[in-house]
Amino acid sequence: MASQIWWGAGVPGTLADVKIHPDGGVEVICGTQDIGCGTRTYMATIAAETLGLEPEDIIVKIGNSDYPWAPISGGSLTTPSVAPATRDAALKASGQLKQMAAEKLEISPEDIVLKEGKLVSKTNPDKSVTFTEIARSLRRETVFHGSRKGMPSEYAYNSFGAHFAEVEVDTLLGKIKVLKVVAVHDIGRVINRQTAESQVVGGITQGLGTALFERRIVDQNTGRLVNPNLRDYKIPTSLDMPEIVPLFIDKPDPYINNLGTKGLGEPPRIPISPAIANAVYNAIGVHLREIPMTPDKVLQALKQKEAV
Amino acid sequence: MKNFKIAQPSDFKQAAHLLAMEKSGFYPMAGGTDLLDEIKNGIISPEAVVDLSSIPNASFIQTEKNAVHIGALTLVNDLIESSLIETSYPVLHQAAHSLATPQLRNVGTVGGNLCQRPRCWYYRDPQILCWKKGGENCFAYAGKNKYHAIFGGEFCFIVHPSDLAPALICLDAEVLIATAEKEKKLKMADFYHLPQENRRGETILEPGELLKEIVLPLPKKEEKSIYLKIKERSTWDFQWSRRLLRENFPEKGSMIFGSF
Repeated sequence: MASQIWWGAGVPGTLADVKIHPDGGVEVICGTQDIGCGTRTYMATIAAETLGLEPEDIIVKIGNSDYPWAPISGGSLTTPSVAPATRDAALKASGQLKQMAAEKLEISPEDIVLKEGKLVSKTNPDKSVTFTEIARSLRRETVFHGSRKGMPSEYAYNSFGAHFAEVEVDTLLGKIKVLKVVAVHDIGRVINRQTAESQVVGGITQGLGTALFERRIVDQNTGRLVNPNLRDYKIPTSLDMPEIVPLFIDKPDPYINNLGTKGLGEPPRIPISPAIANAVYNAIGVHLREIPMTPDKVLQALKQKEAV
Repeated sequence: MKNFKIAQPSDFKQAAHLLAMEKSGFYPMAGGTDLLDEIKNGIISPEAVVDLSSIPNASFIQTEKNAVHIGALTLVNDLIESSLIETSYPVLHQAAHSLATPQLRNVGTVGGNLCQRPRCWYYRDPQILCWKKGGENCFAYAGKNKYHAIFGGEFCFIVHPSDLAPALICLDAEVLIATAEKEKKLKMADFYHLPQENRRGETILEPGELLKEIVLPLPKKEEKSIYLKIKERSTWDFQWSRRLLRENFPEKGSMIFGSF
C-alpha cells in the first residue's frame, strides 16, 4: 500500500461562457483544452444538467486562445478550474431563464426547475414552458459569463489517494506479477465516473510500467541512449496488467469551489509504484530501493537477504 | 534513407543469381519485418532489395515420405495454425507462438526468422560502428550488456534472437539451401556461425545462397518436447533465456539452451 497527496484545486479566475441562441441552441465556450481527460464531456454534462437538457444538446467549444481564459493543463488543475467556471455561467443562464419563465407563467422564479427541456413549476407541474420557447423570447444570442472564484482562505487544498497492490514474486526467476490493484481516491465530487475510472486505469498502467519495466538506458562509454524504441524500452502489455478496482470517496468538498470537485490528472500515477514495491517487500521480506524492479534486481535483493 | 531498387524474381534460382551477381548492396527480403527496420534505422542502405515474396509456391507445410517440408516463406502464423505442427512438434509450435506479436507473425516468415540480424542495441545504433559492422570494438563488452552473451564472446557478444532456430535444432531439422546452380542440404545445427567465424553474418549463407526449405524428420511416437522461454514482460518481448527439452522415452533425451 502507498498513499498520495497532490494539488488539484484549480486556478481562480478561470473563465467560461454559456451562449444561448434564440433557436434553443446552447454553446459552452472556454479557452481550455482536452488532453484526453474528458474536458468536452464534463463541460457538456455540467451545462446540460444545470439547464435541464441532455449533454448531446450542448455544443462545446474549446482549444482556441480567443475564447475566455483558462489555464494550461498540468498539475491536475483543468477540471477544478473549468468545471466550476462552466457551472457558474450555466447557473447565471438558468437564473435569467427562470426569471423570464416566472413572468410568463405568473409564478415565483424560486418555484421553477429546469428539467427535460422544460422550465416547470415545482408546486404545479402542469405549469411549464419549453426551453426553446424561453430561449426564443431572449430574441438574440445571449452570453452568460462564468468564472472560477477564489480559493477558500484558512484551508490547505489537496487531493488524496491510496493504492493497494497484490503481487506474486517468482523467487527463482525474479519476476514480479501484479495480480490486483485497488485504487481509492478522494477528489471531492466525481464529475464523470467513467472518465474518472479511465484516468485511474491509465495512471496505474503508466505507474506499473515504471515500477516493473520502463527505464531509459544510457551507455556510459558512448553517451548513447541504447533503448530508444518500444522494443527495448518496455511498456506493459495487456497481459502484464492486473485487475484494477478504482474507488472514489465521492463526497463534494464544501469549500473548494461551487462543484466541490478536485483534479484527478496525476494522482493515480503517484502511489502505484511504491504500492507495488511495498507489496513486494511484504512478499519477499526485502526492500527494493530502485525502480524498475526488474528480475535481476529482485534476485540480487534476495541474494543479499540470504547473505545477512 | 537512400532510394533503392526492388527486384521481384520468379524463382529461387533467379533470386540467387541476382544476389550472387552483386555481392554487396543487394539484400534478400522475405516478410521484411527485420530488413525494413534495419533500412529505416539506417543500419544498412541497400542498392536493391530482392523481394522473395514474389516467388510462387514457397510457402507450404507438406508431409512427404520421410520428412515434413516447410517452405522458407511460410508465415510464422502458419506454423501456429498447423495442426500437424501442433500435435507432432510441440516444441516448434510453442516457439512460434512465443515470438513477437500476432501482427508480426502474420507477416514474418520462417526463413526470415532464422536469418534475422542480432538485436544487440550497439549493432542497432546507426551512430555506433561496432565490430560486427566493421569497426574495432564490441561496445557491449564494457557497456550495458544485460541482454548479451554470457558464454563465449571474444570479439562480439551478440546472441541470436530467433525462437525457431533452437526448436529446429532440437528436432534435428535440416535446411535446404539454393544457389543459382544447385541445391544443398545441411543440418540446422551447422547453419549458424559464431561471430568470430563470420564477421558480417550469423549464418553460413554466402552471397548468392538462399534458405529455401526446412526439412523435419517424421515425428516419432512417444516423443515429447517443450519450449520454455523467459521474458521480462508477458508478451511481445525477446527471450532472456530459453530452454528446450525433447525426450523420446525411454531411449534418449536432449536439452538445448538458447539465450538472449
